[in-house]
Amino acid sequence: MKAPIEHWPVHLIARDDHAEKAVSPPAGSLPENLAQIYDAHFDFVWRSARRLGVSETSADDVTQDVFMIVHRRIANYDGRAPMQAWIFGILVRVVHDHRRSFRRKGARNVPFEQDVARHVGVAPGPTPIEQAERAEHVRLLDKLLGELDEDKRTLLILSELEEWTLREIAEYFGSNTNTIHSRLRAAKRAFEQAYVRAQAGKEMLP
Amino acid sequence: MSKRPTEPDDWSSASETLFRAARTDYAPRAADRERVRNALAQRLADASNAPVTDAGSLLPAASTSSVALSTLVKFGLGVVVVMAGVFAFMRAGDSPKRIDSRLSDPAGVEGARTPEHVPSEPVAPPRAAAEAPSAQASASKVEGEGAQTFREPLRDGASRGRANERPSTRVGRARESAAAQKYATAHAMPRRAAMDGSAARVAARDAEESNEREPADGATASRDPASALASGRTDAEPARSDAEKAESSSAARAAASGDEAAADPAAVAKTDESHRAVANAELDASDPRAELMFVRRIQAALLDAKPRRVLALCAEHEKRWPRGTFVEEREGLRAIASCQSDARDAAARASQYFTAYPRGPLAPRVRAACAPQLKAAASGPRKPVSGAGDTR
Repeated sequence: MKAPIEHWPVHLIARDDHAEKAVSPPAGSLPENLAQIYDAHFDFVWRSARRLGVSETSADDVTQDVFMIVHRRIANYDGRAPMQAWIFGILVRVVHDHRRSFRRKGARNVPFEQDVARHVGVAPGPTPIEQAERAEHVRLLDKLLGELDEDKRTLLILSELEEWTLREIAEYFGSNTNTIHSRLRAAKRAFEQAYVRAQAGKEMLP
Repeated sequence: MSKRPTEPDDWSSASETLFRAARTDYAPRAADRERVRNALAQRLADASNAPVTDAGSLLPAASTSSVALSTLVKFGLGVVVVMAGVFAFMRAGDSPKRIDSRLSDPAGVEGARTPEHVPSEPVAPPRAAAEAPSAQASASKVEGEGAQTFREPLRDGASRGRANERPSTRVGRARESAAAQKYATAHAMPRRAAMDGSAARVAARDAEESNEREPADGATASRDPASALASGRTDAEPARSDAEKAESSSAARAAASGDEAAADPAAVAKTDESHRAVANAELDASDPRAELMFVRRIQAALLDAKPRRVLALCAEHEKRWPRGTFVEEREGLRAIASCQSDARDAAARASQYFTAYPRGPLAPRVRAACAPQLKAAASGPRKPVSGAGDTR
């Protein structure tokens, strides 16, 4: 089934000389269909990228890449899974490629402390102590999630941070809810182990 | 719709609080949103303008891609056909040789399956071998029905494979199960026994208590010998290392010589309760919190300047949690204790720690504690220490 023209990628639409002026977006604006998706899912993509370990300096590039792919592949979206799950699948692959290219180039992320400090500096917190506590929470959670493998990390992000239901997660992974349940339990156990270990390490520091 | 599960066993309240607090983190700012939007629009504009020169360019692009696709498909099909041909050739060339060897020496084939490969359960002889005498008698029918009779079980690659693999597989299984039993006897059984509740659990707990209580209440032991006897110290004795015994006895002597904290009955009772709680928690070897409590004991022993006890506890931890959560901490504490006691292998322990965990949280402490040993090891081989044992 052919997708309606408003779902076509821009470069295909723009090939029609007569339609080019009408369809091509003005500078600084997005096509209407992409703009709607962008407005609805930008926050989700951004914070999920950050939670998947992308630094703030790289979050721009990763988010742009995700929406570029969304724009290219929107004709392939069949609507069986929620749009958010579909976009999250794209995001996971983009983050994976991003990490690989970082490793290959030997590039280094911005030091995490600076990253967190910049983030927490604008976070709502009435007192500096609360801001510091929050920064500590963010740092600890990121560190512990970073110790898990990608699968467990994704599960915990979707379940505990994005609060997806088991069924939604199962649809995303193409699995059944019982399997997701047991995998989620394993992920929680792994996180708990990492948490206990981090606490003990803190106590043992001189 | 099923909701997210909440099993208290998997999830401590601290972890849950951590996640709950983080749900609002990493929200983008309005500036982020606008910046990415503008950059995205720019990229889209570039992508739509750059490659398109005229309307006719779509056709060559499509034809080029279709040519590439067809080439790829042809290449893939060619590879598949060649592989299939090679496979068929190998199978066709393989069968007659085996038939010939079987026909010429059926006993040899059987000899290859002597009962020493399968001592307990010999494999039933294949039909080909059973019918070999009749085949030899009617050699003229080898290419006829007889050949079919012999070829039938051999052409069936699956059945041939099974017949050949079965003995070795069973032997392998038998060896595997024997090794697994041996391993379980050596490692897992004590832990299982400790986790099983009932008498073994009580005995292990009492042994732990007696281990813990002995340094502090040597006087108590002398006051109440019955409780000491009932505490299962005799059972626990083999599990304790010599170093730990020496530590305990020295501590007991110190307590008997007038240690006020140890002589105070309230303090002793309080210590007993805490140690009992520790022992109860430690029985669950799969719980990282139990392991954490044990590691805290090692840490406390190090703070008390008892490096030998640290080494003994580290050895015990290694037995109980060979792949535990706190292996890194254990090795760090062990390296520090080795250096503090000036053990012979102190430098080696420290080097091993730095090799395995170059950025470990205990690395600065290990480096500080083991500086003389590492310096001596770097300058030259250490002279052998007179006397046996790791420590002097």
